Amino acid sequence: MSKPSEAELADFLELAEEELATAIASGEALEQNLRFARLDIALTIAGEALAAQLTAPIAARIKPAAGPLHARIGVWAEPSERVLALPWGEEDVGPMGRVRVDGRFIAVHDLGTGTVTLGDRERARILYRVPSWEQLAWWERAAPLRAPLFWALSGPNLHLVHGGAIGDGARGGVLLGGPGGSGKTTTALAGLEAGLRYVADDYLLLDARAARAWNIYGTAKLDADQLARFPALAREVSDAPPPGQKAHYDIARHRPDALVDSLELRAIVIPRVGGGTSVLRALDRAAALRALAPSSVFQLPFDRGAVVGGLAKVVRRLPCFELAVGDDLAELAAMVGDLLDRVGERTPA
Amino acid sequence: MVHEAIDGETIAIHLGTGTYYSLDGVAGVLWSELASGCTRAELVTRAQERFDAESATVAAATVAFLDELLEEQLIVERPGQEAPAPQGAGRGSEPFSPPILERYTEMQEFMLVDPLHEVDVTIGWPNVKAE
Repeated sequence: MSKPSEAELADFLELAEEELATAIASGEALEQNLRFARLDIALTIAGEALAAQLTAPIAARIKPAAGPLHARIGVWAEPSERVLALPWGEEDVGPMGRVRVDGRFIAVHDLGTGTVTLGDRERARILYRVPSWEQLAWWERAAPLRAPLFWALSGPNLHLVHGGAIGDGARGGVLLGGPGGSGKTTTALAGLEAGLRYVADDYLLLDARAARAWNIYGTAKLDADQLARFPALAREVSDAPPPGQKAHYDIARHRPDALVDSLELRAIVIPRVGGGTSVLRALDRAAALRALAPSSVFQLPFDRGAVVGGLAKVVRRLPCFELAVGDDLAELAAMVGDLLDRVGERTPA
Repeated sequence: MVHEAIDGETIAIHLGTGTYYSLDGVAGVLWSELASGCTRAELVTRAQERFDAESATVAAATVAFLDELLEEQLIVERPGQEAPAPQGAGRGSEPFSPPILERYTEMQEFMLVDPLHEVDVTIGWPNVKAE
């Protein structure tokens, strides 16, 4: 098989729309407006079970539309019979699942999970088909619809960032950056436990011009060590994760007051796994950008590196710190709180 | 490839390979000259006029650095440019040390994880990235 042409993809998109319509007609469908930053996205998910699996982490984003629709996303599971054959073979799937992304019609096929993303740029339409709701990968349930949402949300001043943000309305927030396993989630959850507001511990939308972090998901992912470190949160996690997976803690459900739409950023904090006593020290801007940018570029390579410019903009504007994450979580949270006291004083208008 | 300079240091990220780089000091200076566009000979002359070191030393280090950038596919050389001949450029006053390209590869594993989506960042979804 060879890569599908534009015309073949256009035809396939029509057939996929029919498959989606059939799935919607054959049972309950969820139709909601999602609001990310200031962008409205119409989401339709065919099937109650699939909708329940995919919408819990984005429940806080369900809001009435307030502007023109930015994109329409349709989601369904493969039917058990007469599955639509893909007009490409596995050998046509390139790096990062790319089948064709350079024209009006796009197709991305994640061979690991079997999910397929189809898009029609002219109609701002995105279709997302999963193999079945029972077979959703654990990360898809924790941070669902990443491919279609992230595709739709990249824009001139809005960047998808691999990072966290905590703080409060009075003092603003800190951007937590760095690669996976560096302590972003631990710091974010320590802050949550200490009463700080939460925007993200892993993925957020950054408005670089306004230096504001916007929420995407209301779920934090905890590995076994983190479950042990946060027993109060662990008690509210419904299922213990199988080995190698993470549990998701539903902040929107268990701490609804803590989950906020956005925080104005006042500082950048790069956590590092430390141990012992937590230590906060100033970090030069280049080191901060080096810690922030690559993980966003390579984990969320949706905007071909433009996120680096957005991150550089906030790095130039905000004080940067490195935080060695110690053992005492209350001390860790207090350190972030003290930092917000220092940097969070509002400039008089 | 995407690059951003901040406080004299350049962070360069190769989107195709997953490798990223830090260019500080002399390396950062040479990079900013390259970013503005110049030939091999021009770069060597500019370096000789800027730094306080023997012109042959600066020339050799600059050419070696250029070759390293080419090998890492961070720059491309347009055909028709001649290799620089050592020349009598004036000696500069800034301290010189051989330029260093710091290389980080730990992000390469992530290259295989996520679907790549290309969106025109100047106007956003749903517009096509102009090639």
